[in-house]
Amino acid sequence: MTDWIQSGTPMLAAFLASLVECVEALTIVLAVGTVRGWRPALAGAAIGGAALVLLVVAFGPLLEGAPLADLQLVIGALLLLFGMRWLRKAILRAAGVIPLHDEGVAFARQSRALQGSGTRADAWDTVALVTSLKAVFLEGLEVVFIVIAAGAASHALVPAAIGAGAALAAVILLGVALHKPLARVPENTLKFGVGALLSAFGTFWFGEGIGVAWPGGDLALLILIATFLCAAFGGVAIARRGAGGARPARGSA
Amino acid sequence: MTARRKVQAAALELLGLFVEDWLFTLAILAWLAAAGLLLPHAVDDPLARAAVFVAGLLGILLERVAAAARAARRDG
Repeated sequence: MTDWIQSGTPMLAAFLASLVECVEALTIVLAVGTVRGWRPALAGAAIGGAALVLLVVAFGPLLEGAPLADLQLVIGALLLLFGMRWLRKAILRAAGVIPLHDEGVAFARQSRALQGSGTRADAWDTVALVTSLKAVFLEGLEVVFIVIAAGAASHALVPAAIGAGAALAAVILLGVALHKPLARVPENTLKFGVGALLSAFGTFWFGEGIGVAWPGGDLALLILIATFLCAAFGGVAIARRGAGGARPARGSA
Repeated sequence: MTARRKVQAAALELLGLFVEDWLFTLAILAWLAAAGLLLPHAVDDPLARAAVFVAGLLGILLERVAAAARAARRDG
C-alpha cells in the first residue's frame, strides 16, 4: 500500500496534469498546422520538445545532490503555489464564476490570429514555427515541473515520467487519428482533481520539511487529497452563493 | 517587439505558471513562512501542528474563492 502511494500517486498526478497540458499544446499545434502548414508546426513542436529535454538533462542532476529537507521545502512551496492556483481556477469554473476552457474556441481563436498575422515571408514561416515552439515549450515546462515536483521529493521520478510519457503518447495518437482539438477531454474535472493532488503533495512535503509528523506516514497523503477535494467541493458551493448564480459563456481562458 | 520586451513577456508567462491572483500567492507564501518559523515553537502536539498547517491553507483557498465570486457579482 505504501509503495503504491509513493509511486502510484505521483504517476497518476503526472499523467492527469500532463494530459491537460498536452491537449492545450496539441490545440495550438493543430491550429498552426491547419492554417500555415504542417512543416513549421511540427518543426516548432520538435524544437520545443528538444529544448525541454535539454532543460531536464541540464537541471535534473542538480536535484539529486540537493539535501532532502531543502528539496521538500522548495518543491512543497512551489507545488502549493501551482496546485492551489489550479484548484482555485477549477473551483471558480465549476461554480460558473469564470468561463470553462473550450479547446474548440481556443482552436478557432488561434486560427484567426494566425490567418491575420501576414503571409509566409520565408521558406520556414517563422510566425508558425515560433507559435508552435512556444506552445510546446510553455505547456511542456508545466509538465516538466509537475514530473520533477511530484517525483523528486518522493524518489518517484521514473513513475512520474512514465505517467507524463503515457499522457503525451495518448494525446499524440488521438491528435493524429482525429486531426481536430480534443474538445471532449473534461479539462476542468481533470484540473479539479490534479489541483487537489498537487496541493496535497505540496502540503505533505512542505509539512515534512518544517517537521510536521504526519499521522499514518505516507497514508496521510490520501487523507490530504480527500481533504482538499472536500474543501474544493465546499468552495464551489461558496463561490456559487457568492456570485449569485451568474453564469458566463464558455471560452478559452 | 524589442528583445527586452520579448524577455519581459517570456518572464511574465513563466511567472504566470505560479501566480494568477497576487493576493492569493502572497497569502500562501506568508502562511508558509509563518508555519515554518512559528508552528514548531507555538504548537507542541505534532497532530495539532499538522491540523493547523492544513487549516490555514484551506482557509486561504476558500477565502480567495469567495473573494473572486464577490468580485464577479460586483462587476456583473
